[in-house]
Amino acid sequence: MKNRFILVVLLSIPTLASAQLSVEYTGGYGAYTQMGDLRKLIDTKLQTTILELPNAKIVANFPNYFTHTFGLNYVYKREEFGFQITRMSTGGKIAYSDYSGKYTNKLILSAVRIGTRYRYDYIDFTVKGKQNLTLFWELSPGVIVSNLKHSIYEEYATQTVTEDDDGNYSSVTFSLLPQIGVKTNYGRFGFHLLAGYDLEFGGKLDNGYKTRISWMGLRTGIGFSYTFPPRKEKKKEKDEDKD
Amino acid sequence: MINSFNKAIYSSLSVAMLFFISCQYDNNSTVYYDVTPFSDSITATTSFSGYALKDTVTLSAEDSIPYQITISSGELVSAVFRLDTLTLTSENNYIQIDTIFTVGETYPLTLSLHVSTQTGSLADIKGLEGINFEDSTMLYVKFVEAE
Repeated sequence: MKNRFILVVLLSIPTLASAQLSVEYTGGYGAYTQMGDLRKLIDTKLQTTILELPNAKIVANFPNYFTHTFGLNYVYKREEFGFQITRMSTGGKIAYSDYSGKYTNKLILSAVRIGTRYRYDYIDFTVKGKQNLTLFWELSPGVIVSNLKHSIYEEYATQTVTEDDDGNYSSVTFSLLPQIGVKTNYGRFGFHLLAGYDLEFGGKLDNGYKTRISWMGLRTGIGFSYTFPPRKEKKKEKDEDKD
Repeated sequence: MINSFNKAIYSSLSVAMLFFISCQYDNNSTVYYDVTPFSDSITATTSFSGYALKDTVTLSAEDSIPYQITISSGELVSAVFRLDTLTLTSENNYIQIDTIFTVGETYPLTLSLHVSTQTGSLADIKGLEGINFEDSTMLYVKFVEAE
């Protein structure tokens, strides 16, 4: 699979003779607006738990959380084509503790978004005659593979009990992420700031409750990139060495 | 270009690995309840009328064995007697033995006991506070031929 990927990229090099390869990392924050089904699921677990522990409470209810995106792109004039992979995670937690021990019941939802990306540098803003900022837009279709893991942890003075649910449930969701942002370059390093909205379609867990998984919502991020020297530049350097 | 490409691939994989491992959601919040701990120690004493602990009781027919469980404090949640693996009925401080086992054989009579401290704490609810033991041998029962 890896070899095929490398082959495809190598074959496309002649068509993009002046293209440059760049790697990019974006740390971001995801606002998840469609977590209703998962909030219902943890509430169902709370109703079961309070039969035994009447004072147990939900202390985390699938909040917004950080995202991490890594991208590999071909930069060609004002356009970028590439792949990106994003890791997202959130969770719910029921907790109780007193002098004798502590109890936690966790549902952790993790996801990997794998997508392609097209970015276009729309407008350049110049300050003091120098290009300083570029406004860009991008579109990224992709798939999100989510995994829900359930675990119970109990800690007492004399023992610790850990229970992991045997059934870890997965779902696949289709996603379309349009974003706009600004970027600036310092030599081969670039810094960017972007925001967008992740639109999603489908995605239900096969867990008996048919829990809908959706990471839909606002995305913001700040990141950096490094653009590797183009082939042409290396040739020039060699020519200079010969002289 | 190829070197750059390889560098890009290796860098990307390394970074991807790092953030994949490090970014799972976690939350350290909890709710703490100030439950008053149980100050005294609880003791439970089991006695059988006419027998000392671990004595052998000889039976030739269905019968009942009188017993007494005395606890110093807390609340008796459950007391389950078993003859070998058979759970016995116990009512009004009498263990009912309604089944005759193999004649000539001796079987252990065990007790599983749970005494709660009644503090309402997590450990109390989960049966880890107070007294909680399973299948402790109290007596031996030997079955003999009826005369």
